[in-house]
Amino acid sequence: MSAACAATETNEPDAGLVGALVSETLARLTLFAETGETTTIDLGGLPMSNRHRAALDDFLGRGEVSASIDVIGRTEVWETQFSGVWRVRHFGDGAIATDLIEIAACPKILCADRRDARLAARGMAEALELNPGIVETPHET
Amino acid sequence: MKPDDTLAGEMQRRGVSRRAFLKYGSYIASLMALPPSAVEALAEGLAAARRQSVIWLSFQECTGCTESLTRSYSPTLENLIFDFISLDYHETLMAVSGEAAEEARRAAMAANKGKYIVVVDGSVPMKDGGVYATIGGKTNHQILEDTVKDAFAVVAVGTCAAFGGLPKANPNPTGAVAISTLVAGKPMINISGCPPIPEAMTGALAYILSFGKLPELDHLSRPKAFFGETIHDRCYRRPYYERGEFANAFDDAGARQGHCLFKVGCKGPVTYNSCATTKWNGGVSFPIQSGHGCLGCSEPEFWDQGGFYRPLSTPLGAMGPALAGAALAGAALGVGAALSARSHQKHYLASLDKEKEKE
Amino acid sequence: MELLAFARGPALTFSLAIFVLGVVWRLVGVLALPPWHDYSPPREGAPPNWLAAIRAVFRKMIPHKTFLKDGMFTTINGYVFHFGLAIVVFLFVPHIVLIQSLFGVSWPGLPNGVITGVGGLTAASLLGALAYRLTSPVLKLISRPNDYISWLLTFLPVATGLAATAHVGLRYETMLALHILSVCAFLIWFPFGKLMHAFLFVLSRGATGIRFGHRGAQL
Ligand code: SF4
Ligand code: SF4
Repeated sequence: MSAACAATETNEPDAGLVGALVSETLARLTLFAETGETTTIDLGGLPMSNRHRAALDDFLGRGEVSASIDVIGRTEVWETQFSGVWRVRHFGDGAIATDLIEIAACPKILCADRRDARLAARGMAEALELNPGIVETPHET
Repeated sequence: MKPDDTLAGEMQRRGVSRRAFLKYGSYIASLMALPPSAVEALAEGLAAARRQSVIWLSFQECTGCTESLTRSYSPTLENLIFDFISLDYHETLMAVSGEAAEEARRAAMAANKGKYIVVVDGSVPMKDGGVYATIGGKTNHQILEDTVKDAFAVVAVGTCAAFGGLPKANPNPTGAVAISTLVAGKPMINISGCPPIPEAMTGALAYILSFGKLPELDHLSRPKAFFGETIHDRCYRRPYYERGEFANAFDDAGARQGHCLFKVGCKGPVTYNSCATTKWNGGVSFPIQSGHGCLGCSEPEFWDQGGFYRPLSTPLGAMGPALAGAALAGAALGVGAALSARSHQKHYLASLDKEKEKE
Repeated sequence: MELLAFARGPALTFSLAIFVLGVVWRLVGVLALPPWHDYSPPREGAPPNWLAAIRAVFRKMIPHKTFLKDGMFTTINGYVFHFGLAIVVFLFVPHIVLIQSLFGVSWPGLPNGVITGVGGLTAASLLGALAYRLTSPVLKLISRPNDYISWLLTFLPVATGLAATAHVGLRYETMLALHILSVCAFLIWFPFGKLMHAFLFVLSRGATGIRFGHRGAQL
């Protein structure tokens, strides 16, 4: 979603947008279940009002997982009641900046990147070197 | 070990993971309506890019464009672009001034020869040798030529730079011209608007950074992602237009009910910009949503379209005198024709009488 | 936008001025002709001139029964595109806005969907009229460039107007400019070609009616 998901309510007529979105999601979810192909539906650029968004999220509901990511602003991720269907919502300057439906085992943004991991490993090794006794500490009596 | 000078490296040093690039990639892809599959390419491209040197030149302008692009409250997604570029010269934003500033510009040009991007706001006056706008004794035209020579690309920001804008409006006293007329041969993007939508500029720059090339442009060199559709195409008041429900004045019942603003001068049908979808001030609203018609600010010569409140389907100038004159002239011609017919008839009848007399 | 500015500016001003000049010229020229006198006494029971004139104007709206069957297509088709044109020209809101800006009068318009439908029908009907003109042995013989030019300059505004609203062909602002320019051509041609019948048909039918009525002939 562009900065577009405006907060202001406009009384546009409902063009069956939510229904169409849900059918699209169902088709992609079926595909994912069969072939493992992941997809993302970008709600940006769609003429969605807050009412549309609420109706969509009401239908999709909430599942087992929800997470909040703190990277250049807030990001909310939750699994919907339909396993494999995720909602990813990036916030910018207070407003929603990007709003996605992701159909995958796990949304990409939740996964750690191996290149970050490589750096982290180095950092961890350094930390360990600085404080070699730390691992044993809890076991000492 | 040589420090990693990619953007990813810089972010890592600040303790920010690559998720930032993924998030930014989603944001830009969404802004530019790129397919979701482009997100990773964008993220990877950006992460691997180096800080982009940008030299910002301001000519005949009002600084509204800089205002539009830099107004932001906190370091967030929308202005992350300023972490990805190195703004090596910008008169309004840089701390130094005078010769030190010019020196910074020259140093950046030398260090990034062939790789820096020149952003320009404002038009260039060409009349009388360009004397109407000079900086440090040099005309805008000289500075532009000098700076653009070794640039990788030129981005004209705002309608003044893109199309001449207000300075070029009739009667154009300074002989102002658009930047595109002066930088032949360089890759060039116009981000028009008065002011331009900040996201359009951010998106275009991020695209160049990730992919190393310009995004797809329209016939006026504007990124299609932001200027591919008219305001009218995406206007939420469109159903009213189609049903024929219009506001006749800004304070009538139609206006209060949010009817279409065509009759009060909306230029949305011929204006290509993304106000209706990207909106303004972080997505809060856009002019039509606030009850005012589109002025057509992202189009060439929008100041000279006969007035902001004159409906699109009406003539540009005052027609009264021309039509009255034409009617008078027509009446005179008609009377003349009839008189000549009458005198013709009289002569004919007289000649008949004469013939009768002869007999 | 430059082409559009040219169309809305100089082109429209010039063509409207020519239109007004030409129409006033021809109407004044006809109306100020010496009055027609028939010195013969009118037939017994002949209607007064004004009545004969008005009757003729309306009676001629349906062909004489002798020609009714043969002229069925031209009559119905003629009505279709004449009414179609009137609806599209005078009931499309942007057109009303133009007329209001020129003459200060306005009236309610129709929804765009209706206008587009009527416009499509009008275009088809105009094409039918052309096809008939090109295939009818008699009509073919008596058709002159004047007829074809008048047809073309009527068809072009309809076609470009439809193309602009349907977003086909060139970009909208270019199509819109071409639409206005085609109307300009129509306006310039109007007073000097057969299109002038839009004004003159009343006068010519009236004059015929008076002559016929005077002699007691039925129209
Ligand atoms: S308000 Fe303007 S852009 Fe919106 S539908 Fe009306 S004419 Fe089009
Ligand atoms: S609505 Fe029209 S005039 Fe207003 S900012 Fe957008 S493009 Fe410019």
